[in-house]
Amino acid sequence: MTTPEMTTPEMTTTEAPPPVDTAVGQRRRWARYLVPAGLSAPVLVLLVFSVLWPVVSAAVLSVSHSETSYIADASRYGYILGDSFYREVLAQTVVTSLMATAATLVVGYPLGLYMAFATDRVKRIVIFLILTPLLISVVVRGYALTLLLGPVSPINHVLPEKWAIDLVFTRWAVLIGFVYTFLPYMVLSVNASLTGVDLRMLAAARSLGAGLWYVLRRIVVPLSAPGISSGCVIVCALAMSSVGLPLLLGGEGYQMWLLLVYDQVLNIFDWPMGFAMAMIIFVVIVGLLVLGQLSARLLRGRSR
Amino acid sequence: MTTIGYGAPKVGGEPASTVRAHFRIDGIVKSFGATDVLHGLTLDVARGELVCLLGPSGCGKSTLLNVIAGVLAPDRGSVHLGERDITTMPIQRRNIGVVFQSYALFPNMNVVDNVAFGLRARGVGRDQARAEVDRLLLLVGLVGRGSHRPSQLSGGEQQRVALARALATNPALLLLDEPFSNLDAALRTELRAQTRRIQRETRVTTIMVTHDQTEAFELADRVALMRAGEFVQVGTPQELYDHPRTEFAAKFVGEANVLRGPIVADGDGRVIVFAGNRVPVGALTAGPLPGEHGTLVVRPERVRIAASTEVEEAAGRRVRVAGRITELQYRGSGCRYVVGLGDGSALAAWHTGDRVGRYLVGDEVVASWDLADTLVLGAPDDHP
Repeated sequence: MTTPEMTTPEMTTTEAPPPVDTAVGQRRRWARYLVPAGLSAPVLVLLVFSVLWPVVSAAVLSVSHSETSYIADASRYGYILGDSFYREVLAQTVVTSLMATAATLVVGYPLGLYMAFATDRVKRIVIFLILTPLLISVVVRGYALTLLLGPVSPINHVLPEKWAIDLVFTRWAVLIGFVYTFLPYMVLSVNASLTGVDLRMLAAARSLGAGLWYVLRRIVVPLSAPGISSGCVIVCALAMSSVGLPLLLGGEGYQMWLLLVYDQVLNIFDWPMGFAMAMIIFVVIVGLLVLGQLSARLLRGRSR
Repeated sequence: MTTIGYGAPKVGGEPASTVRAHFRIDGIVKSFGATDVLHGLTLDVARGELVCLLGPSGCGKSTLLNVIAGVLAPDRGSVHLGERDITTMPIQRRNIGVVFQSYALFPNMNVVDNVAFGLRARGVGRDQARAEVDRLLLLVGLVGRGSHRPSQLSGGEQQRVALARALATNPALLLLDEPFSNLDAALRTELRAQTRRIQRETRVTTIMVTHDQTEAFELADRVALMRAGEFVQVGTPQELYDHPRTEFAAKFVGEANVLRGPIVADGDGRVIVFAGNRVPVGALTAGPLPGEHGTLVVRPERVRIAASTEVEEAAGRRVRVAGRITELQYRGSGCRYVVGLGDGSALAAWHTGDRVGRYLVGDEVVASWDLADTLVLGAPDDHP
């Protein structure tokens, strides 16, 4: 779908912009959007079919009376949210995700900070150490953690019996799993946002008499706020939508929401119920995303 | 005039002295791995003085500034501010104000917060700090721009914010690292004058780094000319211009005619021989001996051109050299002639006023200058 203009690039870049109100001008104006539209069309189509369509049909199905009829019936939501067990699991999911986010921030921010001001060689080593685990399947890593945190863990050989750890199938195992798995996202996010901090800026701040904490508080953290907030949003969203890790590390002992959805859809075969539950967590995640954006704006504006 | 700040400047928490501090570096040596950058530098700076570190790129002037600021630690040598040895003192205790070439303003704060940063970091209250900031903004001419962010300011305004910020803490020493090089020519001239005025008003001891000779001459009380990690010559701009000690010094601070030739004994004096001319060296007490090679230096504005047929009034003893004009460059305020001397060497002469444009390329002329304007230096140098 090319027009003559598209095959001669010099016409669109070097000639003076054509008058817009003439017929020829009108034609040329929308033609300018052809290339960008053409290039993004495949991705847009993909997004529509793989994201928009499934979400919309899931939402529609969740308020239908049953799979086959299309009578509107939102009573499922009432049932789910009325049940104390479901409410508890939802709360657990949100709380654990938030805790994981906080923990990842605490561990990941200093690392990201270190990386940002380190030499290129150190940077490469840190990136290597952080990214190579991602090459290993999350299932394999999850299993490794179950061994590490369980009764037969090598750690228990070293620790006295009183302190022996057996954390598998508890929230702590899930938490540790989240932090371990999502750390790269936080570190890289923080590191990226610190590229705008000039070392001279820090030298200037120190020369003015500021101690390291003051410099951190008033310059480094405010400048890395975008990285912090996007890292937190990513980790939180990943935690709340994860299935593999809670399955391996939480098992029956600690349920998380999406495991229940998984159960409903693949074991119980009650799709409308499953989708209703999925919509609920979807709303929660989006809500938290919005909160994240607002807090980022607040952090940045507050830097006095 | 009211002094900016809270009384006497302090260094390391103690009063530096009753007035602005006296500064000294002694034998500073600094290497980076296998490269020696600074070769034992010693310099004294008096209170309230503005000293310029002048030199070509790579001479080590910025490294020296970083050592003084405390960003780098010297391998050997000491740095003294006031009576205190600050060689190993951490940056934040030195109370040295720094203005970097890139200004390094804090992008997440507005102008007022940037300037107040040092004061607030030391625990000064918000209102007190604000009063101080207002005084400084008035001094640098940025009243009314306080609520803007650095990204909303022009280059010249950013530079002035950086200066105000550095002065806010009443520093014992002010360091400027090529503070005008990011500005266009017109702005540069304006800010140079303003910076000089501010420095004179606040009487803060200042060290400035630059590669621009005009800038150094305009601002400095004294200039320290550097080359390859050493001080070639330290003196007032006039001393450097009229009495450069090496060929490099002569050429760096302005245009210089450099003619080389052997030194020969002539009666009870010495002469330097070049292009068939003999110029007496005898009047000078120091310098090269007969048998050695010498370098004759004379500034183009001291050289006058006259037609071979003209009779010149001899005012004092003049050196006369015959040649032919090979180039003519008209520059508005004056005219630069290049006179070829026959043996391949050439002499440049600078004429202004009525004497512009009197001679043409190809004319046979006589270039002359007063003997007192001659400078004869040692052998041609590859090193200072």
